[in-house]
Amino acid sequence: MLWVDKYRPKTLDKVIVHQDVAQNLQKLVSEGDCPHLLFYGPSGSGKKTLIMALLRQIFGPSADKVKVENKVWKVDAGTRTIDVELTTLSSTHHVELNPSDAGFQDRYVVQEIIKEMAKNRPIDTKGKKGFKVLVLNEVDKLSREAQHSLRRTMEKYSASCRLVLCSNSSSKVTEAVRSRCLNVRINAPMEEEIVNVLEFIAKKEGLQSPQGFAARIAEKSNRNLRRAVLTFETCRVQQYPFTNNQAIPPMDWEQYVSEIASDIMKEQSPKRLFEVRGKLYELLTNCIPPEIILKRLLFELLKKLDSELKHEVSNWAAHYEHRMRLGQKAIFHLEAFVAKFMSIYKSFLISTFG
Amino acid sequence: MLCALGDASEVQQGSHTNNGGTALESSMPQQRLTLELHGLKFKNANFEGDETESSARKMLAAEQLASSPGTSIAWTQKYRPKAIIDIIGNEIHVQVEQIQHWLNNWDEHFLKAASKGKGKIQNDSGAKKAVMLSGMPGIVKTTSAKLVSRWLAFQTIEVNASDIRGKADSKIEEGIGGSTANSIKECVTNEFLSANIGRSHRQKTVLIIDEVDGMSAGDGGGVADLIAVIKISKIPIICICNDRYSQELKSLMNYCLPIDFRKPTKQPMAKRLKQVANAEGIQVNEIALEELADRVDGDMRMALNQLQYISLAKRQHLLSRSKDEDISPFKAIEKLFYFNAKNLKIDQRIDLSMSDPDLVPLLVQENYFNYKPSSAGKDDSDLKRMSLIARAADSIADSDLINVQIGRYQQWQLSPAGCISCCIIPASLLHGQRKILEQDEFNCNRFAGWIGQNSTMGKNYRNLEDLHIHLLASGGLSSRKSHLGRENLRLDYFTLLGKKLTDPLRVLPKDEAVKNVVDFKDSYSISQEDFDNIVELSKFKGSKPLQEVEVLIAVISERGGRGSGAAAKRKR
Repeated sequence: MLWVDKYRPKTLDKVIVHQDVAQNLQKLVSEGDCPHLLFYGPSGSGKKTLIMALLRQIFGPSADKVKVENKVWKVDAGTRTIDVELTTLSSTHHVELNPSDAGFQDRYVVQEIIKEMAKNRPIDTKGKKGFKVLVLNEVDKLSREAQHSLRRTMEKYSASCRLVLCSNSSSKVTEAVRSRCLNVRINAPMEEEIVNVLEFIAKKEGLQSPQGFAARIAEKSNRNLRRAVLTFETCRVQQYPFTNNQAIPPMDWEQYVSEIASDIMKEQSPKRLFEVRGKLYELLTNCIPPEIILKRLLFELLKKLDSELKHEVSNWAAHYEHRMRLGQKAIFHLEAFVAKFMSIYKSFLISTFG
Repeated sequence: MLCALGDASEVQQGSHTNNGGTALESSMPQQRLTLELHGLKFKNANFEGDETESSARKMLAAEQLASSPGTSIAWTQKYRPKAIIDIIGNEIHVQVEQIQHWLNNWDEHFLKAASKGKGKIQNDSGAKKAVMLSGMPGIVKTTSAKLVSRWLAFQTIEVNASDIRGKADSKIEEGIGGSTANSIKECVTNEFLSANIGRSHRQKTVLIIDEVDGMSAGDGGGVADLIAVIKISKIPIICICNDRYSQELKSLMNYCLPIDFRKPTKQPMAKRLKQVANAEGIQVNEIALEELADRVDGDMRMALNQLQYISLAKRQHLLSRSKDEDISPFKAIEKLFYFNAKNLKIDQRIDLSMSDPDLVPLLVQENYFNYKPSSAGKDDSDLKRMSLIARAADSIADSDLINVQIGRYQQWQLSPAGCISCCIIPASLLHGQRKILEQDEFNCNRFAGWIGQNSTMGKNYRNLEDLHIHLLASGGLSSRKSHLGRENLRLDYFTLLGKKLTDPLRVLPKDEAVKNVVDFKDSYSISQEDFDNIVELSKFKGSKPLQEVEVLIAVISERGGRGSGAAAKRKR
């Protein structure tokens, strides 16, 4: 089993990072009342782990007995029926799903499927805990319409159903949805915290980790705990015993994006733009989400840019990132950003160095 | 006047005598029969006002007089061919000769044979008693039939099946199979009778039954009745239809000599149109006329109608009328980005980009930065060009947003805006000479790469989703049952998964390595396909982190199957 799964804390009192949040959640549940929750924070900060631990806290070990279903829902949308394929993970007490998988038909998921699930009140012999939990992932990716439909569901079925929403950014969740939830921000763990986790794992696995090695991984991980643990194990697979100067393997796609960045910095021409397009396609077809590509690309460019350009370039990146979300063909927007950058940078170079 | 129809009452009498046997017909109200015969008579009067050839010539002259410019007769009537020579198209002359030949020999074949004894007719398989002219509308079938008859001094009776049906009876079902058939039989037999009376100057008659296929649509009996008529007929019958292969006419074709009319080629048509145009005194260039001839697809009548309409609408219009050709997307791109494209008008550009509203934008997106904009002039550093490209890229990105609005929210009113932002703005910014970007590239527009890339991406996402579900469903690992996001799976897990699956092969001895890998695969329910997908998805063109592994992948693919089989056995 991968370490990242093996050492995932299973209960709220065993968490290493975000202990304060865990304590609060514990208190929240012990009082018997559970509002709708919105967990938000960057990827790899522990949202999911906390949610699962919370469910175990509420429902006990039965929350672990889940089944995976991938089924096609037939949704009646007025004049036609739409097939929506959706993977759900469900136990007797909770259902976990990813409504944004349905693409732009996500509002049907919310309007029909979630409503359907929310309506069915679980029968509990003790008459206690008569609600079920719907865990919705990637709420920030839901379209505006879907989010609007969601708020009605949240109010109407609040007696029988609690929603736990999980998203990377709260700014992409509409105000209306946010105000109906208890917002729980999960920060990215500090590097020291990551080091603590890595050393905990090393101890459990009985590994000798040289001084500062964990810190290097933590630094590389970009404060993403999951990635840190995965990288740690990758290093273990690659070379053991660890040495102090052992290379930390970068993520394959990150490396590729940084190649693109240096390509762009080196030459600004239609020819280069053409090559970059090929590389962007390569990333996209390898299932790297376009927002991540753009963000990473900006990050790599900023590392090399003169400070007077940083503001402008970030501005354009934000501009195209927003439009990418509104649009459909990500490559158009990525390419537009690259072209824009080339144009700006070229004129900067010429005006500075002649 | 046709002697048989000269007096309505006479015919009425005749019909009584003729059909006395059939009870159905004798019960018919007399008045209706009279009316309908008037209809026939009227038609004859209309088309064949004069009997003899000489008087036909006179009429021709009169028509020509009437056809001076400015009169408001439909041109199709006005410029209907007046003589066999006028009929255009070389092929048609063959058909005309065929008809001529058939008509000339008709009497000898049938009338004389008939007088000797009916048995002989059936034996003569070479000749049929009727002909069937078939071909598309507007290629002078009716006209040639009439002209030939007139040329040979036949009197023509035109029976227009749909026409008569309307006049004869309110009940459409009756059709030619009903009472009208009687009048046809009437003509056929009466003519024979009148001929037998032995007039000094016998007028030969031919019966033209137009739109035979239209007739049969009304009721099934029509065709059968027509066949009966042909059998007893003492005069030649010319049937005309559009499609002689239609199912209804199948039985009729056994009794007819088929003559196919093919559509004329466009040059003679254009020539004729030019003559008409000259006669009407309008200026038209010949290319436009050929274009017109091409577009009506051989239908002379439609061509004349259009020509008249155009001449009414605007005398000069045809001169400047550009070709409305079927343009290919690649051609459209070429035109839009042509270095002289600034002379194009906006509606021409919209037409070009709308010639294929799905493909043209993608082709623009694929090729726009290949062009060296003529508006940038000479800048060595390509600075201007780069900024124009950035603007074009921005505009293309705009079009994506517009297309989402159209596709998702049905905002079709935005489609011109979409067309402008995805094709016209980039084209107007960048039009110029096309440059190649790679050494050995052909200098022609590439096909839209987006289509292929998009489908690859879709496939890979589906594979990833499969893997994702397998990981989620991997049994026995209750502790890690959380909905790990698909993206995180790709972004964070893949490096390690790839290593876990391939690295043992590099360091450990083969058997142990395979066992190691297979165990790991089983614990996460990773199938062989998933394994291949992981390798496939973490491969980037140009980067070589996994290339050395490729050999090993072959090993695991080969052994993996066996290995997982063994694992499955163990489980059992």
